[in-house]
Amino acid sequence: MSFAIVTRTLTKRFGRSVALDSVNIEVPAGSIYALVGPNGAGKTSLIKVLMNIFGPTAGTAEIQGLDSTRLRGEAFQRIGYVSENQEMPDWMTVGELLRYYRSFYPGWDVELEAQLVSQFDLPLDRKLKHLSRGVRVKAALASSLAYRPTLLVLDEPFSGLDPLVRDELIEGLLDRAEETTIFLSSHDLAEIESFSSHVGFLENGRLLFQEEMASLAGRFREITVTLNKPGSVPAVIPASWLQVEASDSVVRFVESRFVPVQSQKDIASVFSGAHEVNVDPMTLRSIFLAIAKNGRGRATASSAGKKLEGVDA
Amino acid sequence: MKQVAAIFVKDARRFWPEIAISVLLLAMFVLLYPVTWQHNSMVAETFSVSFTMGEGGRGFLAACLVVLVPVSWLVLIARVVHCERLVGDTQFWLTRPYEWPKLLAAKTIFLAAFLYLPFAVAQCALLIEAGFHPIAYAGPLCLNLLLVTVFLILPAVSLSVLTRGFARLMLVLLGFVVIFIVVSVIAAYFPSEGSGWTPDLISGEIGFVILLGGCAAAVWMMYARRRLRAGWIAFGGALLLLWGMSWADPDRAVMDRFFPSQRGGSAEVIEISYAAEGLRQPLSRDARDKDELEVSVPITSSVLQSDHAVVPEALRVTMEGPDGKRWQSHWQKFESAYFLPGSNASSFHFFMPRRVYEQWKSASIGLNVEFALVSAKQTLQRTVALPDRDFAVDGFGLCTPWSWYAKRREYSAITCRSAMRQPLLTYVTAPWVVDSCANPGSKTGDAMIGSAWAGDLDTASAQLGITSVWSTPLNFSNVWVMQANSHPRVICPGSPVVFRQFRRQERIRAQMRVADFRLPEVMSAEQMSATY
Repeated sequence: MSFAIVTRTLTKRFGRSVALDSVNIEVPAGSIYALVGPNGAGKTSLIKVLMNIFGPTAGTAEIQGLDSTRLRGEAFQRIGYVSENQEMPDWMTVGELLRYYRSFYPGWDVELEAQLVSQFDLPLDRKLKHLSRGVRVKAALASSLAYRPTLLVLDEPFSGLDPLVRDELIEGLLDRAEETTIFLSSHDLAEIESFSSHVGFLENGRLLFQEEMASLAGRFREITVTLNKPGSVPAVIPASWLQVEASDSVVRFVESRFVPVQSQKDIASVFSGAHEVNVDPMTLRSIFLAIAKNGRGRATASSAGKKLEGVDA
Repeated sequence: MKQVAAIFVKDARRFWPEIAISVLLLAMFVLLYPVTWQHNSMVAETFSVSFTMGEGGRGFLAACLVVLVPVSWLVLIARVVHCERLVGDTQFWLTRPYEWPKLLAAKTIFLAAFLYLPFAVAQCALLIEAGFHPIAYAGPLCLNLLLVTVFLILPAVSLSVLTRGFARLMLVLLGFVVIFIVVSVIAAYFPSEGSGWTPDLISGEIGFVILLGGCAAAVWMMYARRRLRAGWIAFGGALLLLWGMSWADPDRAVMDRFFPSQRGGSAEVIEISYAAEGLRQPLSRDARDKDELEVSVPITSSVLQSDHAVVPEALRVTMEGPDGKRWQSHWQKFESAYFLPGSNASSFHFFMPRRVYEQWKSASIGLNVEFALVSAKQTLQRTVALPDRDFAVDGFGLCTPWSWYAKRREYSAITCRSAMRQPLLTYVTAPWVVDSCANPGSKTGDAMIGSAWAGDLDTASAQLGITSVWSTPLNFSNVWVMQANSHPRVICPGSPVVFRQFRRQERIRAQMRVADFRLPEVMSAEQMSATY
C-alpha cells in the first residue's frame, strides 16, 4: 500500500507547550482521511507541519514521498490546501483569483474551473472581501481543485458553514475523490462520518488511534444486557468493554472489539444470569464519546503506524 | 518567468494608487526643487529663511518633498512586500507553488519599475534642468542609486520582510526612536569623559558593509527560509553593530596610522605656533555639557608649500600639570578652517573636563596639541570675468550671478550647482566694489577681496542624495562695509572671479607645544558678550 502522508514520531513544541507528541500517521493514497479531535488537540499544528508552514521540532513527515521540510514551490502544484483561517487576497474578485492562480499550475484545467464555478455557484465578479464565509471557502476549494491535485489537505473546511453549503462542498469533494487523496481535519464527527474512509483521533497532541472507518464502525457496539435479577458490575470484565454501567437489572457497556461469537461468549461468561442481550451499532460520535469518557489520555494507539485493535479500559 | 510576470502584474494592479502617489511626489520634487538653486541670500545662515519664506512656499514645499519622497518609497516598499508577507502562518501564498527566487525577483522588478526608474528619470531631469548632461554622469548616477539602495531601500525592505504589516512596521520604527531617546537620556546621566570626534577614516566603509550585509542577510533569511528570529538577529545585529561603532569609534584606533607625523625639512607642510598677543588671548567658557569647559587658544599657522592648502580635521590636547599628572583629551573636531600658504592667524578650541580645569586653573602647565591635518594640492585654477548670466567653471559646476535691490541698496551673490555631489574643495576669490555697480564712480575697492571656500575633499563621484544637483552658495568674506551706515559690497559683472580647486594629497600630523600655558579664567556669558 502506498501512502500519501507518513509521519514518524512527529513532534512540535512551541516553547514549553507540546502541540504534537510523537505522532505517527499513515494516510493511504486515494483515501479520505479524517483527522478528528477536540479543539486544541493539535490538528491544525499537524497540518501546518505537513504543509511546511512550521518545521517539526522532532520526527519526520513525508508528503507524497517528499520530506515536509522540503515542501515548497513546485511541490505545491500537486497539493491543494484549504484552511478555515487562511488569508486570501481579498482585494481580488473570484475571477481574478482564479486567473491569477492559473499561471502557477501547469496542470490547471480551465474546463474543470468553469465546472467548479458553476457547481459552487461562484460570483466571478465579486471581490473576496465581500463574500460570505461559505462562498469564500467554496472559492478557495475551487481554486485548489482546478489543477487536479493528487493530495488535498483541508483544515476544518466545514467549520461554521450552514448545512447547504457544507453539502455542496462535500459533494464537490466526493466528485474528485477518485483522483485525489483527501486529508481533512474536523472536530465535528457527524460531518465526516458519511464520507471518510479512514479516521484518526488526535487528543492533546497525541494520536490515540487511526483506523479504517468501516473497521472502526464494525468493532464498536453498544451492548445492553438485561439480567434476571438486579446486580452490579462484576470485578473482572474484558479489557475491550468500555463505560460499563449497571442499573437495577440492566448493564450497559461498549464493546470495542466486537466479534459476534466471541463477544456472545464473553457476555455469557461474565453475566451468567442474562436473559436478554441487545447489540446496537454505534455512530462515530458515540464511539468517540465512549473512548473519550473512558479515560482521556489513557487510551493510546497500540503501536506506531498500526491499526488499533482496541483501546485499554 | 510566467510566475514572476504574474506576481508583478498583480502587484502593479493592486498598488497603482501607491505608485501614482510616489511618482507624483517625485514629479513635484523635480518641478519644485530647482527653486532651491535660486537662493540669492548672501550667507548660509539666511539661506534657510529665504528657502522657506522667500519663494512663497514653493521652497518650503520642495524641502518637505525631500522627506515625503522617501516616505512614499517606504510605504510602497512595505505595501508590496506585505502583499506576500513573510511573517505569519496563515498567508495564502505559503501553500501555493510560489518559488522564493521568483517572488523576490518579482518584487525587485516592481521596485525597479516603480521606484528606481522614476527616481533615475527624476535625477536625469534635474541634471538637465540644472544644465548638466545626464550621459556624462552615468557612473555617478549609478553610484547614487547604490547608496540610496544601501542606506534607504534595503533597510526599508528589511523592516518590511520582518513585520506583519505597515502598522507593525511603524510601531517598530517608533520603538527604535524610543530606544534611541531612552539610551541618549541614560547616557547623559553618566559622567562624560570629554567630547570626542574623529574624522571618517574607516567607519564609513565598515558601516556600509555592515548595513548591506545585515539587510541582505535578513532579506535572504526571510525569503529563502522564512526564519524570523534569524532575520531579526541579522538586521538587529547590524543595527547594534552600527550603534556600537558610534561608541567604540574604530576611526580612533587608526588615527595614528592615517595621520603620521609630518616629516621635517623641505617635506614639512605646515608650522603651527601658539600666538597669544594683544587682544588675542586664550579664553575659557562654559560648554553645553555642564561637566565640560570650552577653551579657545590663538595660533598662527604657516603653510610652507606653495599651491597647497591645509585642512585641519581634528586635534588632541595633552596637558601636564606641575604635579607631574597628565591629562589627554580624545580626538576632537577642529571646526571648519582652512590654511593657505603664508601666515594665518586663527584659533582652535577644545573641550576639557571641568574637574581637570579646576585642578590646574591657576598653575603653569605644559600644553601639547596634536593636529590631524589634510594637505591638499591645488590642481586647477580658473579665472572667470563675471558674466551677467549663468557660466560654467570646469571641474566645479555651473554658477549663477545674482544682483538685486532691497531697501535702495544693491546686493550681489554667486550661487553654483554641481552634479551628483558637492564640488571638490575650492577656494574662490572675487574683488569687491564698495558702491553700486551702476555707479560710474565705483572702483574695485583697493584690493578688497572677498573669498569663500566651497566643497569638500571627498573624491567619490557621487554623494548620497535624493537630488542629483547640489547647490552651493559662495559665501564671500568682507561682504559688509563696517561703518555707521553699513552697507554691502558688491561684485560687478566683468570682475575676475578666481576658482582654485584642491585635491587631497596626504594626511599628516603636526604638533604644537607650549611649555608655560595658563588656563584662562572662565568667562560668563555676560563677560563674553561684553568682550565681543
